[in-house]
Amino acid sequence: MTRKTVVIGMDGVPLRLIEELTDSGDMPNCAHLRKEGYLSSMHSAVPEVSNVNWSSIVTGANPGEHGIYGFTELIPGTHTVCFPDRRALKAPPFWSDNSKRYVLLNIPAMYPAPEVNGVFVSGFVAPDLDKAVKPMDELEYLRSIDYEVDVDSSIAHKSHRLFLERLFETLEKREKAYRYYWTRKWDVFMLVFTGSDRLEHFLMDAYADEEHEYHEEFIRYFREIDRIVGDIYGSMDEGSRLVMLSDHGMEPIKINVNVNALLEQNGLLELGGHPEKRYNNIVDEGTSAFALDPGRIYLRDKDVAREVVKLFEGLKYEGEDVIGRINLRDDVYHGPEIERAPDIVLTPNSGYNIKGGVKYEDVFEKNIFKGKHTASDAFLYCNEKCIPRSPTVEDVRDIIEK
Amino acid sequence: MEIHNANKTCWNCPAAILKGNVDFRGCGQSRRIVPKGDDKQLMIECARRPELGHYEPSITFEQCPEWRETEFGYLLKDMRVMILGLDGYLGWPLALKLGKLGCKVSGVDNYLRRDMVMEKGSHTVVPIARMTDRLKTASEVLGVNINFRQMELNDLKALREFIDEVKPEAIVHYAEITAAPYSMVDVEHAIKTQKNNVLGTMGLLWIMKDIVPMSSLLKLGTMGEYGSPLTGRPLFEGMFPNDAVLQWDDREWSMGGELTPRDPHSFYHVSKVQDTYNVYEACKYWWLRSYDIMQGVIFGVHTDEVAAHPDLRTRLDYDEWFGTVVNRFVTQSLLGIPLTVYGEGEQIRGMIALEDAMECMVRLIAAPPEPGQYDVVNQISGLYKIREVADTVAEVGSENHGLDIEIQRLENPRVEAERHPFEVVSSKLSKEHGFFPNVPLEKEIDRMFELLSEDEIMNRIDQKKHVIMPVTRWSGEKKESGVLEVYKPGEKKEEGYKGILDTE
Repeated sequence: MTRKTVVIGMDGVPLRLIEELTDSGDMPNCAHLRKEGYLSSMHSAVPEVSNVNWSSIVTGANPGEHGIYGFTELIPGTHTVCFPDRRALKAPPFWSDNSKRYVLLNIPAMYPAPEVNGVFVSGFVAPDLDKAVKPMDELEYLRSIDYEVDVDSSIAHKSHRLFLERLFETLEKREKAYRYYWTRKWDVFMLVFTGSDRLEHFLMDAYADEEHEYHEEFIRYFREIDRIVGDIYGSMDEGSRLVMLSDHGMEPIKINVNVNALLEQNGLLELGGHPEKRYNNIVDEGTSAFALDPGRIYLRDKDVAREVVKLFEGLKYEGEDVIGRINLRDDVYHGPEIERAPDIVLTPNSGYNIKGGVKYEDVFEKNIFKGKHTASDAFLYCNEKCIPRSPTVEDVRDIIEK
Repeated sequence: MEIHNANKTCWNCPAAILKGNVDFRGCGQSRRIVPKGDDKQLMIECARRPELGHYEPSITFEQCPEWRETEFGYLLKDMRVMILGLDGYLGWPLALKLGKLGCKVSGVDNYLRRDMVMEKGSHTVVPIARMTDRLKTASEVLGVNINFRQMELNDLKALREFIDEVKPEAIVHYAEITAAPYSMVDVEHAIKTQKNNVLGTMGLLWIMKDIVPMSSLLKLGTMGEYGSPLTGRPLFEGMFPNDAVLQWDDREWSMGGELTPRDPHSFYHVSKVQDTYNVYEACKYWWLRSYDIMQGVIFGVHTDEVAAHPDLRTRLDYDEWFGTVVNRFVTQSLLGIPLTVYGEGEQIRGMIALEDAMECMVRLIAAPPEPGQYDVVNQISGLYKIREVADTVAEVGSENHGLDIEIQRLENPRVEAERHPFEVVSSKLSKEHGFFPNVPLEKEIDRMFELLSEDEIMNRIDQKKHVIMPVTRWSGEKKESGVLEVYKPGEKKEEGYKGILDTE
């Protein structure tokens, strides 16, 4: 009989937060697991955005193999931005092994839902629930509980209070769904909490600041996750493997850094025509480099590589270096999809939020967001000793399948 | 010259299904549609090219292989266009024109116009075939196959089912009672007009919201919604231009983008005004998109398609309810009845020939508004005084067809300004949609004389000639108008206001 494996994902939760909340007693179940098992930091993919990370987690592959480099791409031959989803994933995920039975709930970037031996409910971005669920007859139940793939993040731009209310509602429905599917026959059960990432993006400042209006709510969200983790662990068969992980870390934003604004100001990118700045207005003749979110730079003219590197090496904010590491394509990517990879990917120093949109005039600006992804402090936990040294997101698949 | 809709994008395309926003910084998604957000990216899916996945709506019509070039601009391949009121004077020729252009045309009609004209004791002077014969001939002669259903617009269940089945990418709404006098006959006719028009449109809007929110609605309004303001204030295209200012009490406010005042002429025109507000609100609430087409007085009989076979002709009414002024004057000329000018005859109206109106419609169908956009076009090709129209008809009739024509001024059965300034702005069709009028009044009048002089048609005109003289008064009385004056064409001196048409 196949040994059972449970995987619990927590999108965007840094190791530091798990350590602090288990130490403080806010996450007692995770504290117990931490004592019994093995907790490590984990490196994210390059760049450290969720869909790249989760694609590496479920396939065990480098972006150069699975072909997902970010939330956006340009449709080949055009400057039209598209949003690659599971259909663009080129490497096989762990559920392609049909000898096992699966319940896979809320895995990001896996929309539309694939056919699996079991049940699959996609995580964000998933515009239509009916395409996010396989098999289709599971829809009836999910609709009956008004299941939501993701909290509507636009609410956070209007009201943090309502955003939190909806975040907890979404979590409640997620919990209902997990309980409903827990009783099915499965060998691998995977559940990902994604509200954690949303919460941190909008309210990271509330975590550190005990006086913050929503500090208590922030902590309560993690207490709720801990309660569900405790329930899951408590009902697991003896000898089962429990893997917990996040895909990337999170830290407060000091300042946003607009990559394309810097390229434009230095004559490397030219946008023209339409008054509204967008990729479709890139003037081919005047453009030798442009960036897609977050810091993926594509060179039209390979000869400017040195100039671009120098530009970002020298970028300072209030006397501080902004960029921590300048990743060149061949240094970080390998595999058959490497031709589509960005030429340069920027990894910023702590606090600097790299952005790749073309709409911005200023290189440095602030906005509503409080938290940004980090690349080196995701966490990985297993109740058994199986974590390699300095793990990366590409090591997770092996642990799930072992 | 650049094609008028070449730079429109998926944002305008009815095949693009809005999927909300991707919120990059929040790593999330949103169902809310935010076209311009700093960190949010609008996401669509193409109903025709699902292989593209989700993407931003920025592919231009020129770039997209689903849009192909025609003489009227880029047109969506096999575009599904539904015409409500397909059996009517406009619906039928438009169906044929669109079909010839490769559109998949569907439509409904309940033959109400045929019934109402019969109620008046009249008939269309150009004989039209039964719908089954029309459809058969369209298929045989033009290769145009039309998916037609006999249906009441107010039968919401049937309409919903048909729209769900066809999933039209554009809906042309011609299914309204179109006659001002009809709505002034009595309370029953007034209520019937408003019920059919206002409630029919309201039902359609709700169905569109539920089933085809991306479809473009082309709703026929009328220049009569605006009235003819005695101040001479220009009749803008539905909304005030950006630089319009309201001054009062030493203060001023920008009026840019607000709906202009409406001053309808009849309960029929009121129904059109109510439609305007309902459509405007639906665009605002539900992100529907619509052109409200303020069409001038329509005239004529010709399009290339209706002229292709006798069974493809469109109707032409000349009775006091449904006969529009040019059409009425031509039939009166042929009958030897002095042309009936109401009141002073100094009323100025915007007009457009059937053929030009059909071209405008195709161009508008080819250039859908943006989601949530309520847009208005004043669809006219010229301004004419009624007295001048009578002179022109008489001139063409006598010079080209040897007719001896007189003009009579009648007591005006309507309540309307008979002498008024009139300035109309009609620039969108030329500036944004590449339309320039091709059919001068004289040319179409000449075509009408040609067609209506055929023996069979002359007999039909003669058979029902008693229905021409107005007896429906806005006062509610039923009484023939007395003759104020009879005169020869050209006898009247030019006087009064001159119409001003702003096309730039």
